Order: sequence, then structure tokens, then C-alpha cells
Amino acid sequence: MNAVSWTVAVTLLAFGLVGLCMARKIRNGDSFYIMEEKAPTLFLVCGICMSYISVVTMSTGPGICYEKGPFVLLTTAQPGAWLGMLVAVLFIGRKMKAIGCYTMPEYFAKRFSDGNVTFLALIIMVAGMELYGVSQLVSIGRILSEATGLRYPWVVLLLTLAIMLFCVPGGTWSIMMTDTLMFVVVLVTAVVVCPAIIAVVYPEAVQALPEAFWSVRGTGGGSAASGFSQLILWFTFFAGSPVIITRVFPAKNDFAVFKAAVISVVLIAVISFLLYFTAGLMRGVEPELTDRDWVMFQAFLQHAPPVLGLVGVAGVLTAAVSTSAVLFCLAGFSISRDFFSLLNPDKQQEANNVRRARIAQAFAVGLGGVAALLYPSSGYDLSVFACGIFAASWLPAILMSLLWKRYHAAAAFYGMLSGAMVLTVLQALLTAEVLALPDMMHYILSMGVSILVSVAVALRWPAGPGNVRRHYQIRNAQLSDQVVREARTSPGALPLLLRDYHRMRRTLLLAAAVTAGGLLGLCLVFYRLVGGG
Amino acid sequence: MVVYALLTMGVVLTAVLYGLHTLRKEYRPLLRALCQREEDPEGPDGDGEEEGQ
Repeated sequence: MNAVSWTVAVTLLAFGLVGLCMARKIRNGDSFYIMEEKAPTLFLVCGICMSYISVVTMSTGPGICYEKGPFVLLTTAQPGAWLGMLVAVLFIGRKMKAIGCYTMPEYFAKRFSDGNVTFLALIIMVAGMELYGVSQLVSIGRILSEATGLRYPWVVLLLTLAIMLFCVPGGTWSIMMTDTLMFVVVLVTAVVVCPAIIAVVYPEAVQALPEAFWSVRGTGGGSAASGFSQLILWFTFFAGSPVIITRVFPAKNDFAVFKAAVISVVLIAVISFLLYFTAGLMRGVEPELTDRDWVMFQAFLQHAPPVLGLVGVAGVLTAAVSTSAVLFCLAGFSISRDFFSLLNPDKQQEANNVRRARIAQAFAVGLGGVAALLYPSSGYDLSVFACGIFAASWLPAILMSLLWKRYHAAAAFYGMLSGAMVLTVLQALLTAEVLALPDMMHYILSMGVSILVSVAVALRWPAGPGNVRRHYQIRNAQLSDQVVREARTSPGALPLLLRDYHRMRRTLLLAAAVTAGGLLGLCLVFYRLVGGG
Repeated sequence: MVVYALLTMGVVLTAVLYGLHTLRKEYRPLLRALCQREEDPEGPDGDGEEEGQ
């Protein structure tokens, strides 16, 4: 076994044990699904960041930066993804938490009270999560197979077993705890290992690379319109992503959610910049890499001090494994809770059974592992397709159901179905090279079809009184109500609540002043660079 | 790099302003009502014994 193999084994074993230990925190269904709503800001920050930072961020994204230049992605896809993340956390996630959702298909059940809509949402959830999880397993499996010398099936088997340890015993407790610890590894990778590599390769790389490589357009020569469409596309991918939205459900209160959202954006911006900048510099020192997705591994193993390089390897591994674990966990939750509720509508009190939840977790992870073994296709394409399914089917349905009282069950059903079907058919035609479309255009087309069908059906058939009542019930539900309920039930809660409120307000005002000042300063710098000479 | 920093700060500022807006719109009236109720539990906003009966 080489050093990379040992690093992989120790990392998986350590985090697997942490996941196993979290089983003792599970007392009932609430603790398994939503940590009894006890997650503090730290857990939420790490959960959101680790859901965002996947193998795409650590391997495929750097590969694109290596090829075209780092600022192509950093100024288009990244800001779009952050904005989408904010909408997912602050608008959609908070609203779903306010009405007491444990899973996302539960929102469709509460809003539409229609078995067909819930069933379709459930199918999309399980299929999308499994596909996304498989894409992560395939990507990291291939990289680790090459790095360790182990055969691909063995790597996938080991990863599947490790993910089972993360998901099955402790549910959300395990996921949140392992995410928190894994985030430390990823953060060290970005803020310690990457700068160490930058310090070594910077002088040689900067001289070897043309100036255009560092520009917003990069060496690919993309237009402003294509950059803007990338921004919008990644916005929709993240705004409709169940992985990000459901991170809000275990939060202990609303203040923690707000703090986590702001801190996560800053941390992700710093981490992405350091990773992508390092990948860009690698082009200057190793311009002939055959597999561009290998660029960060090459940087860690060839240009970092040995120990730090292995930390970097652990960073890539944890990013992939944590995202896969969350994805399979959410698929398992949907099977154990939503599917059970759909089959047994009169046994709602049994929906939180922990044993059944664990069996569903094991099934979801096992299914993902088998799929990764049998269908080792391109991990990146599969990731984007899975994100696209949620953007094309769920996002229009969720946003319209929250904002439009006439939006009813039939509109949601046909809107979601048409979005998912059009995307699947277009993707199949593109893969078979029967059809040619500009890059990512099929996602925009399928979203457009979903919206058009939804609106047409909603306008054609009127919404019933029950639909309008549920719309207003959800619209009027605020997360602040939960805080007030706590203040009313326990006598000492009001002073604490007031303290938290004032502290939060002061923090946000300070952050607003600092950010606005920084923004103004940067605008002046930008003006001097571009306009004022 | 300047463009990247501008975009990052723009997104962070959006989140911060939305947070301040929510605090003002959702929490301020609620906390004011709760404090009023604490001071005067028998008042119109309170749920003292008389009102409960």
C-alpha cells in the first residue's frame, strides 16, 4: 500500500467511526431525521459548505480552470451558484422548515394534498439523489483507483461501506457531525495546502501563461452572453437543489440559519478561489496533463510538501464522500418517510420509525454503490444532469406554489412531469448525437417547457378553495413564529431571544457596513483599472 | 480578481440586507408585542387568566 492508500483508508475509517458513534444520539425519529432541530450555526455552516463542495468543486471545476483559466468559472458559474444557494436556504428552506417539513416531498404533500403530485415528487427526489450520488462515487472512484492502484470495483465497494457507516446508524446526526469534521480537512486543504503549492509554482507559472488566461473570458474566448447564461443556469441548479434546501431543517432557530448563510458564502468564495487559482497555475508548470480532472491530485502529490499533499488528497476524498452521503441519506429519508406515508395514509404516527429509516438508508446507499459499479459513466455529466432535473421540474413548481395562489395540483403535476421528461429526452438525443444544441441549452429549454405547461394548466382550470387556503396557510407561516412559541412556553426565553435578536442585528449591520465599504472600494479600483486608467 | 471580489461582496451584501429586512419585518413587531405582553400580561395583547377564562 502506498501513502495515498493509507490516507484513504485512515480517512474513511476515522469518519466511519464518527458516524457510528453518532448512533447513540438517536432517541426517536425526530433525532434521526432533523436532529430534533438542535443544529447550531457551526453545524449548519459546515453542512451547507460540504453540500456545496463536491467532487465537481474539487476535481472537475479545477479541470475547467486548468483548461480555460480560473476566472471563467469564478465570475460566472460561482456567483450564480451562491445566489441560488441563498434563495435555497433563506427563501425556500426557511419556508419549508416553518411548515414543519422533514423532507422535500413532504412540502408537495402539504401544499397540494394530492397523491399523484407527492408520488411524482418522490420519484424525482429518489432518482435525482441516486443519480447525483452515483456521479460522485464514479468520479472519486476513478481518481482513487488511479492514485492507489486498487481496482475500481474495490474502491467503490470501500466507499459504499464507508458511506453506509455515515448514513445508517446516526441519520442526520452522523451526516452533520462528519460534515463538520470533514469541513476542517477541506478548509485546511484550501487555506494551507493550496497556498503552499501557489508559493512553489507561482513564479514559473505566471511567466509561462498568457495574460488572457487570467481574464474573465479566459482562453476559451466565451462571450458575455454565454457567461450570463452560465450564471443563470447555476443559479437555478442550486436554488432548486434539495441538498442545500434540506440543510436548513435541523437548524435550532432562524438566527442560526441567517448567520450560516452569510458565513457559508464567504467561506465558499475563499475556498473556491484558492482551489481554482491553484488549478490555473498548474497549467503554467504542467501544460500537458492528459486528464484535466486529475489536476488537483497532481498538484497535491507533485508540488506540495508530502504531508500537506496527503491532506489535500484527504480533502478531495472527503468532499466527494460527504456529498454522496448527504445525497443517499436524503434518498433514504424519502423512501422511509414519504413513500411509507403515501402507502399508509392512515398510519402517519408511524412515519418516524427509526428502524425502517435505517433499512431505507442502507437500501439507498447499496443501490447507489451497485449503480456506480455497473454504470461508471462520466461523473460530471451525471452530476449536472441530476441538478438539471431538480431545476427543470421542482424549482418552477416550488417557486410558483409559494408565490401564486392559483397554482394547483394539476399544474404542478404536469409542469414537473413535462420538465423532467423533456430534459430526459433531450439529454438522450444529445448523448446519441441525434440532436445538436448549444452547451447547456437543453436545461434552459426544459425549464421553459415546465413553466409554460404549469402556467397553461393553472390558467385553464381554476384552483379550488382548499388549494387557495393551503397556499395562504403556507405563505403566512413564518419561521419567526417558532421563536415566539418558544418565548411563550418557557419563562426565561424572552430575554435570551432579545439578546440574540440584538446581537444578530448588530452583526448584520456591521457586516453590511464592511461589505458596502469593500464594494465601494473595489468599484473605485475597477474604475481606475478599466475606465479611468 | 477585482471582478471576482466585486461579485462575492455583492452576493454577501444581498444576503446581509435580506437578513436585516427579515429582522425588521418579521421579528421587530413580534418582539415588541411580546415585550408589551410581558409588561402587561392582562392587557389586550396578553393571554392572562381573565382572557383565558
